[in-house]
Amino acid sequence: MTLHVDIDLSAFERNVAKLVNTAAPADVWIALKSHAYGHGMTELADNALRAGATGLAVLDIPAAVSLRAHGVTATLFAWLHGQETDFAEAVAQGIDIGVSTLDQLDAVAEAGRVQKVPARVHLKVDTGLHRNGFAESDWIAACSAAADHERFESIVVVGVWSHLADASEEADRIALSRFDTAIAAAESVGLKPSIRHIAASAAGFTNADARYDVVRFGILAYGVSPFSESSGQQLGLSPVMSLRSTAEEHDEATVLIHAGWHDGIPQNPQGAWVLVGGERCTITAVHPLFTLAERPAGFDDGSSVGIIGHGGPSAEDWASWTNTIGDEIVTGIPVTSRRVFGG
Amino acid sequence: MQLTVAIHVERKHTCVFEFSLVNCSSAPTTPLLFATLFSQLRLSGTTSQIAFAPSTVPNSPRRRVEFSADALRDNLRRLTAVGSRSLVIDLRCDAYGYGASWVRAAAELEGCDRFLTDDNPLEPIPPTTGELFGLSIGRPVATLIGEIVAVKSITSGESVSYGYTWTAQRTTQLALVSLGYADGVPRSGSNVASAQIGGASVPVVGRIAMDQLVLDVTNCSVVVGDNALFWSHPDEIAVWAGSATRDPLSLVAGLSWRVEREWIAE
Repeated sequence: MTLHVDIDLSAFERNVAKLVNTAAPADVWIALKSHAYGHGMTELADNALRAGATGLAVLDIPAAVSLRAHGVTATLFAWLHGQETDFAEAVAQGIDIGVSTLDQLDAVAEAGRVQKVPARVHLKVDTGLHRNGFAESDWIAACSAAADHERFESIVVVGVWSHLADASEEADRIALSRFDTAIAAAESVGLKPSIRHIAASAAGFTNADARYDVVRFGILAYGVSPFSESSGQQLGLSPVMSLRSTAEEHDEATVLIHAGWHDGIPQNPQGAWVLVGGERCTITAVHPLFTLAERPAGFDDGSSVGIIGHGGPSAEDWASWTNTIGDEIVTGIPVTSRRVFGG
Repeated sequence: MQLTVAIHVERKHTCVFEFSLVNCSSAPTTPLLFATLFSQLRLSGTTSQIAFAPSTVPNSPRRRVEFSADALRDNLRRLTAVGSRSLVIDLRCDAYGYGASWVRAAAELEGCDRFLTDDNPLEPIPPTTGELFGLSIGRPVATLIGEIVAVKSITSGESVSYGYTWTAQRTTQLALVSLGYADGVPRSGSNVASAQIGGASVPVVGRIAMDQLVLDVTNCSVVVGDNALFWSHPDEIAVWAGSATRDPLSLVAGLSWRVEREWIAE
């Protein structure tokens, strides 16, 4: 292994516990989608629950089924479905299913009818993000159709949910108002959704009005900030993923680090540095299998290099050097780099 | 002929590796493909060519990359016609995600016998490597496929995705695609890059998210379940590579475990 990927489980549990404390009395679900943001889904599930999360948000049904097989009995929430998604397995496994279209609603209800277990449905309303979710104009019809299915006990609408755009306080306020309207409309046709959720990390951390019954925390649980003005550490959270490698002499002016863009090191970073043998050294080039940096004074071959953590930069630093967000940095570390879980 | 091999590896959890050879009817090449298949298996700990999924459940929504054996052969023939035996085939980084065993086998069929492997990390990338995979000229070997999981209409003045960075100037039909930057689709393509649906070029609108992106499909006819194709044109590849801020070879090399790999031969 040329790139060492360390996952600090204690830091993860501390972050989750802090978020649980912040969101109370709302419950907390931890987003473990995308291989737990590149950290390791099955490995982190138990830690999230032990630290006080009551559910896990995993994106799609294959991921949810995989966690059930791993022995997770807590609420598992899956909401991105394809035409060939097998809802029968999801219903049999008691997975909470996000529903965004009438076709999905019918398919989920059919699965519940066949399995003779009401499918646990969270109806999604589009409050302005314009990705998934029923349009406001289709919402009443969707709720009425769901209420019909409920009468036949093929589904139970346990939740109403949405996503915020994090565009501005004003945009979020408008979205929350639309969300309130949608909840009232759902209740007006007889639905009793007890799990209302719209906030993810940004709104869940800063806006008590957005928390409702559950906050779905993602990036903050990994100790990385969703805010451009402050790092995860400044928010009192600890980075969970760290990356290190080793360096050897390349020439008089540069050292060669044994990790490159094929290991997930972002290309063409502007003003980037890493910690080589305790000194900050500017990166001069990122190649597929290695990275070059300025040679520090008194360099020894085999020196340790902090790429993320270990005294080196943060995921947020890499994000600012490559004009992106920390989420893309941590999810970009390929699964072929073995994670070492400790802490 | 379609072949699927599933191998269960007991480690922390069960892994399933699946291969599909679609329409592979040509008898002489079949043993070769089997040979490369099984040589690939021995590399399973380090290769990225193998589809990796943490469960036995079918991948849904669809996220797939298709590799065209014909396109690779055509590109190889064009390159060997120019440089013949001096051509060096770069197999490092699992042939940049295309699959070192597959690429080596195809190159050997065209008479190539000079290869660069991970044992030579410092060697510069041969300039023909991008052409080999059709990233600049030639036929693109890889096509990334995402499933359209939702279609909706919005009115003028409404915005799309995080930060509301794109706002409709007219009534607009949107398609939500099940690919995001966690799959290896660069977030830098937000609002600038495009995809193909049914032969039409459709722009990405709004920020690309971790697992999803949105296309403006006002000018084409789409339904839920259709495929959106990415990286199937060299011009589009250049934009996805951030207009030279990253190597086009890093696109396929950076596709995540969630994307199924499939080689297609006629």
